Amino acid sequence: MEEALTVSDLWKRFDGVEALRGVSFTVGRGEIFGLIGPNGAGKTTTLRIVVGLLHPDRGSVNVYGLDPFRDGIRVRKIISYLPEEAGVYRHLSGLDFLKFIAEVYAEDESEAEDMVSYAVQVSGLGDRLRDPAGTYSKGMKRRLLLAATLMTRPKLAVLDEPTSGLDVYHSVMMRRTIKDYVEETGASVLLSSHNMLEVEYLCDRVAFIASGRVIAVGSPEDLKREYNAANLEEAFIDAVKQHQEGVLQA
Amino acid sequence: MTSKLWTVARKELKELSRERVVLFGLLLGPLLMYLIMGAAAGAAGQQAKEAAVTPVRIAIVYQGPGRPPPLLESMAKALNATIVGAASPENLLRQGYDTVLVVHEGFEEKISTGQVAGVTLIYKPHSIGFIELNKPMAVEQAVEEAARAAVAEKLRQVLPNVSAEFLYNPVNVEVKYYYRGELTGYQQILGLTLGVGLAVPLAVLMTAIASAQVAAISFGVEKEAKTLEKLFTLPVRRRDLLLGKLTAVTALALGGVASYTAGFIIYMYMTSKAFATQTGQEATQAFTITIPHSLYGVIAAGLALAIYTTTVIGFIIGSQAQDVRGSQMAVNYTIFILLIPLFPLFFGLDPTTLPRTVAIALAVDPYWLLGIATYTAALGRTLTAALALTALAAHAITWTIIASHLLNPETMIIGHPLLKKLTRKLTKRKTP
Repeated sequence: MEEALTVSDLWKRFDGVEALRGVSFTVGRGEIFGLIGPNGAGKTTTLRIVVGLLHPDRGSVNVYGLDPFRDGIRVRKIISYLPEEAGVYRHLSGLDFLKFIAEVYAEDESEAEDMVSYAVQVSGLGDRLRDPAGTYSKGMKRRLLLAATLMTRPKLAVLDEPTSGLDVYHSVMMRRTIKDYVEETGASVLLSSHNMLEVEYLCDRVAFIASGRVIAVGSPEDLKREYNAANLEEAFIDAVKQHQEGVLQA
Repeated sequence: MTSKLWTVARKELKELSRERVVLFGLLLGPLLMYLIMGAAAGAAGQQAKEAAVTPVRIAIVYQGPGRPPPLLESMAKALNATIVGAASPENLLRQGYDTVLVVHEGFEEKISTGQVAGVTLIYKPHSIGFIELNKPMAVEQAVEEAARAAVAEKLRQVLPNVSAEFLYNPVNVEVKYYYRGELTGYQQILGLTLGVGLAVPLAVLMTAIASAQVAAISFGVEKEAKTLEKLFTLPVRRRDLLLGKLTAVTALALGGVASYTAGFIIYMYMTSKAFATQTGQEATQAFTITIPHSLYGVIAAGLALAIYTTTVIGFIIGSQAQDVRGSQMAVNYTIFILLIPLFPLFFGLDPTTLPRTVAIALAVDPYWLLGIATYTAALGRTLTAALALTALAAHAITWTIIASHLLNPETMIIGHPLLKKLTRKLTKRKTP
């Protein structure tokens, strides 16, 4: 499988604390890859480095053969990022927000119009798109943001906790949208999540990440088999436990 | 397809122009402020009119032959003034007199034959402040009253019951100002006082606060709405993002300037009306302000540089704040501190009279430099004005360099290490 993303030996320190200690993994083309880990494990830092928001202290990132720091604009043109705590502009309508994103990415007006009509359909917000986005519920905001993320047809979508804080109904809608997008376009997705059900449903492969290190990588089935676990949740707990024991012994 | 810069600028304009803070600060704020100030100026003018003549040293120069006429002597007595011979008014003013009243030949003859005698009142202002400008008006009134009283006294020899208040005004007083070695008219000094001493500091105050606030808020809004990460991962050059924001902020600041100008015109009209009541002029006559033409260029260049610098400072502050309110508060404190040296200009301080070391130390403040540039340009000292403008341009460049280091995604998302350390220190609580 050709690689859409290669992350090699990422190190990052904040205020004297090592947030990442040599994180490495690859995401294949057309693959949905999940990063799973507890709070503070380094998931968001990894994603922020991948999209070029943070510079690693050490290590490298390669997106479709490009470096996000040297070829910033070219990389940002083919990726799209949905941050975990992303919000919307309060006074812009949902439609204005989508038009803004489309105008930034599109080469001409007809491409921008195509992007907006795709996003309108994906968001499912209907007439509410004409209202100021500040009046939307959390679920509506998240749907709008996911639509804005996918409307640009990214070759690599980077989604940080895409369903975080959403109710069951909205979470299911979001997952279906992501899955459909990958099936339709053959794009790759790198996502982080706490939700094991979500990861099992969406991801082709996952990486367990703890204390800034990738401690296991594989498909959900492989990982369950490796840790002799009934589900991914148990596999994750075992992996973390084994990692901590290893650290203590070392 | 329009360029990315305009796309960002349009988005900024749409979002910011609907922010209540921006609407109030930019458009309503200046109008309200001037309405209040206009009313205050009217009240101050009335007070100045009612106030007694401030003790001033008056010298009367009699230009006629022989001894001063008795009428003039009784006027001098009423005014507590000294009659001197045919001395040069400039010399007397340099010697410490505040006012010189020049009485021309044939003074008494004219009055005795029922004509109006012309006198020239030369006043040396100690500053070019608003209240200082009022003083000769009060002296002028006192001269007229003294002349009427002197005429009444003379008439009483024939008509014992004549009262001064029923007499015509026997003198026509022409007021001149002796400022920085030159004699200038009322309109010129009014132009200097209101144009430079008041209008420029106020223009800076309004536009600088407005642009800095909008600049800081533009990042405060992004932080509060948590849109910054999305914005920085769009395929737009960082330079275009900042220029787009700068364009929107400048456009809104220009809206603020328009509002400021409207407010200023209302204010000037109200102030002039108060003046006109004292000087006996029509409001429209007093309203005519003369600002030297050379000054317009200096004011425009200086304001543009000051607004640009302030906007960049606003961006830096906003980028480190957590939300709209935080960015607004931080920027207000900063701008207020930077504006403090300008406040004395409202009260008529001539900045060129400050010791050189103080003036150089104050050059760290861009608004002070703007004050110096406009003042010195108004006084025709082009070299100093050019130097001040150059220093202002250096400020703009320096702040742009600082901004290019601080306005990057990493610093804005996780905060600058030094600022974080400082915040931690300031917010550290001792556990009991």
